Amino acid sequence: MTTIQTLWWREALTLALESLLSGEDLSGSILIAKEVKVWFSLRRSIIELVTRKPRKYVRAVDGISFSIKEQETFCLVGESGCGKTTTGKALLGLVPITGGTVLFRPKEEILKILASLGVNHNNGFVEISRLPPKVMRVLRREIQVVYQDPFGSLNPRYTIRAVLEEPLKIHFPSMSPEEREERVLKALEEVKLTPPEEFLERYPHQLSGGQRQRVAIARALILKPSLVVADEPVSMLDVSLRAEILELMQSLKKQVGLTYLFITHDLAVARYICDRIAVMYLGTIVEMGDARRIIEEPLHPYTQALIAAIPEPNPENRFRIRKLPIKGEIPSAADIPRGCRFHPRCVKFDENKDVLRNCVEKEPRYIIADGRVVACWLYEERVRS
Amino acid sequence: MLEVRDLTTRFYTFRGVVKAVERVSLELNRGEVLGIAGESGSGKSTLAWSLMGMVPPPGRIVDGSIVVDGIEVTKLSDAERRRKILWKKISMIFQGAINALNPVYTVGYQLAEPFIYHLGMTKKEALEKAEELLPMVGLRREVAKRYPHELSGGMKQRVVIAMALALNPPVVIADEPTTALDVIIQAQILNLMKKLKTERAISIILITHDLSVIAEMADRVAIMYGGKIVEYGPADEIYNNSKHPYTQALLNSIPRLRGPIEKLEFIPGEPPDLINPPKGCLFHPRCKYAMGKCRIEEPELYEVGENHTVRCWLYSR
Repeated sequence: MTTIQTLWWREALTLALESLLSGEDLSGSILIAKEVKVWFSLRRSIIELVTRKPRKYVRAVDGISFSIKEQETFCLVGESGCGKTTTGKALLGLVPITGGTVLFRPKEEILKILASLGVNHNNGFVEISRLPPKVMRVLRREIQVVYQDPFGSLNPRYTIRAVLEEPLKIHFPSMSPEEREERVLKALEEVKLTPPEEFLERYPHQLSGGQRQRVAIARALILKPSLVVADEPVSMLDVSLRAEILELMQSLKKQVGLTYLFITHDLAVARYICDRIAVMYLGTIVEMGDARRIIEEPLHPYTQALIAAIPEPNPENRFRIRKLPIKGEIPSAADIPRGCRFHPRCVKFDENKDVLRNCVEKEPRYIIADGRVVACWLYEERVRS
Repeated sequence: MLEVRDLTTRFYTFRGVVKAVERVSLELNRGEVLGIAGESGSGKSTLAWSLMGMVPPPGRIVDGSIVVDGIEVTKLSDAERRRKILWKKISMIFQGAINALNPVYTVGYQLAEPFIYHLGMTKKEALEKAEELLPMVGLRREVAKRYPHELSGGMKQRVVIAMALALNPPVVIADEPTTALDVIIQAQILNLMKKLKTERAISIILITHDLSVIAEMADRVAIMYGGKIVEYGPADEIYNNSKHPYTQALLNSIPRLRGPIEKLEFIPGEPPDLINPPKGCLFHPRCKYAMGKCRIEEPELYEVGENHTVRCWLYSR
């Protein structure tokens, strides 16, 4: 670590944004999320209303910032309840964003359509977090999604043909039936469901889990999007099928030049397919950077615990008790601890109590060292001394 | 401790007979952990239910013997089995996070039930006994007064483990005990199970689709495919010197955290239909070494090493 700069992340982003506005190089990015927040308000009881208690929120996503480069696979990794799925939904415009901005760079042709709808862009970037539904619908051609559960994400009463034709009918109403069928067949071929004609008239329940997930991928790709949000696409599949779907996603990415936002709880899967990883904890990113480097040398105490906990197919492990450098359980997102939100569970915090007063008082700064981001006071201290 | 011979369980459905478990033989010694791995639909859960004698209809045990601690289980009537075997001799750790706990009773009451019904304790004694169980699995005694919905997934799983161990059974079956849990909690539960295993010298059958989890616990491993055991041997042998093409492919399909990043292998095709299983070896349609013989005749389990058997023609002599 030669050149370590400490910056408030906000400052860093302002810088990034300024550089963007001044036409400098952020052109490699396709999506920039800045301080994105998704809060859900909790209902207050009558007593709380009468006593004028402030409204409480579940802070599912609490100020996260990242950018996704074109044609990379960017991973959000974390345990259940850390806000990774909500982040994905927020970017897709499926849950309202409470605060922050999302900038997205669509293709030229989409930009033209957007311009005709009166949406301005800045160097090709469009602010997509607060667009009216009509405009968002145009953008859906550019951002598509693959869900975890192939049993739930396909309508059981639609044939595969109907599932795949629907997006075309919505987005290209003038397309002729022949052309539509051609696109559908091609999409099925691309996800290796061959011969495609055989699958057209089948219903989802007639397919196996792996085949259903292929249909879900075909549906996402049929509109030729630039960005695909893949929310745990292989978690429900058997191990032997997982590798096949991951392989397929990788080859499609190369073929069409896709960008993935890959959401997973499994760091081992992330290692195989992701370029960069952001590790999330309780609604924030605690560590972000190159996938392999994070797994080889995790800096944040939470990432370290997460990696220590992953079982490996090595029978020697049965003779040892795993050391887990973490304590307690994950707090509720409605009641996030003050200061660093990880400090009540942090083992490093116990070891360095006197040095780390900051942990209980202030949220950690983000340290940026060769493209790596760590939200931990420990590294702040290390930099200063 | 436990001896299973030629256990066969079938489901008699309208569409045909599902051969869920076919002639499975296993042995389990005291203090040993046996891991059973396989894909969904390989019959591993049906095997667990069969061992407990609780195969849901329309399924039933057709053939074979199960001897637990010297008692032949398949010959017993339901009532006898409930009285003599279940919970006392053999118990099951369910997937706690899903629905193993009754939402309308406190945790304490649910833990106390085996003491009331099996040992004839009064409710008060039983509740006290139940509270004593909780520290063993790393929970505070107060948890007994709580309801399942007040607990996190990891805590629920601990309660389910405490329940299974309440009457000190020598054999415990754990069916996907960590599947719905986050990695950190999974590691904590596995640590707990390792600790309890050595402290109380219980024998565990660990059933999961995750070979990494099995590596954390098992001394011996059985790989199931299409209701049959295709490879059976000591853990070191299975992981470092696997013989069956299915086991090899399964191991190569696991994304690993360390070491070189090789291309992940996958197994083309789908698991066999157990109503109309393919002729010959069940794995031959997906096997890259399939020969003429594989398509016609089914292989037996062949010995390839000490206590290591493989159901594959490649190793027949």
